[in-house]
Amino acid sequence: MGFLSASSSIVRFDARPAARLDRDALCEAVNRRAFREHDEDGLPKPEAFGWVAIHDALVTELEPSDIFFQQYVVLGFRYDRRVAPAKLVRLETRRAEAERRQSQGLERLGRAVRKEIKEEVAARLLLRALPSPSLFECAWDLDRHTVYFTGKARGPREAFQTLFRETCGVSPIPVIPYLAAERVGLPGSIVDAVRAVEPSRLARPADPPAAAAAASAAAAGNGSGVPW
Amino acid sequence: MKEDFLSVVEAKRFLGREFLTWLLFRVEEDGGRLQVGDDVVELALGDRVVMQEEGEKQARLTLFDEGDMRPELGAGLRGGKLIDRARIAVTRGERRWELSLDGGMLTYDSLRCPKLGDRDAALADDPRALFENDLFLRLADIEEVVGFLDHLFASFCQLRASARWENETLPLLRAWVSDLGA
Repeated sequence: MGFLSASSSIVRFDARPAARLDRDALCEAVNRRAFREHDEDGLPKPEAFGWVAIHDALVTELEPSDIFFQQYVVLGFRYDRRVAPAKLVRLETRRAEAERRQSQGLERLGRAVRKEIKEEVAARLLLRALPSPSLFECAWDLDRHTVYFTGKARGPREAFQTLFRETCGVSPIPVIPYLAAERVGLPGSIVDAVRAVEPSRLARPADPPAAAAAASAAAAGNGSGVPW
Repeated sequence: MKEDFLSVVEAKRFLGREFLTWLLFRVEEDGGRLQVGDDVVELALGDRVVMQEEGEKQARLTLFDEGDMRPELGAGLRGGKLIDRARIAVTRGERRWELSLDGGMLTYDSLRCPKLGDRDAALADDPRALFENDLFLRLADIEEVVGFLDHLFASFCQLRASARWENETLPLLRAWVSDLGA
């Protein structure tokens, strides 16, 4: 899901770049954290993420010209998850436990041994599991101190925030309403006042009973309200 | 720090929900035509609204309808819920954006921007330049719609922080809620 997709979800972060941004140093930092499918031992990881070129997700050696684009830093972000199917882990664990009992002539295995077996089985199956990749994009507007990221799901979003902080040396802060008040050009006194307000009650005191009746009537009318 | 931030997110989520509720009130009251700086922008409510209660219960209600959602919207608001997410369309001249605005988090889901304009024929042989051209135009589209919504959020904040909120806006909002779909 990217900026040029027909439809994309955008999360906005606040990130103030250093006064003097060293483009070559940033590019080196990006390349150090480019996407790698395997860890240092050449083994697959349950979760792997890193930078890729925004114009081609297979490009993981980036030049400054791949990253710097007018006032933006633009990057692709690849996030892979590798999961061994839970049912297969259970079945293979049972098989491994039975083999261990037989080979050691035991009737039962202790909890610690069973846990160890389960971890071994999960790790073994993980080596054979295929990764499920997701591609996202980010654009850091250096002039407006704003990062746009095209993913909302918690796992990739948190991984992105961590990677961005490690790479760029600045924590991207999600622009929630409380923080947005500061970014929209309001005087400090108004920002402080807005942050201090308590929730307003929009229903009149006499409204709630009528609301229940109306809600029942509406629900009975077309059934489109789905409480969950 | 992280826990502090999360507690602020939760405690102040109502601010964005009140903004979204006020925005729909403005759409109803002003016929959807809003002055944003020097521009007139039209806002319209789409076919999906999620309402959520504040507090521990946080009961949710999802409305999805191609017809008139006012009766259920009114019932939800009178029951103490606020609008948490709404599908909206923003139109400026011939340009139109569609998005689901998450008021609680101020994120823009399922954003559809106006079609990219005609491409420069000189770029036809250079896919990389074409991509960069499209990307720049799309980022400008995103910043434009986010800018409109920021402008409206600033108007809301000014109002919310002033005595006018209690004295003028809140009575009007309550009357609107009371009559909505009743």
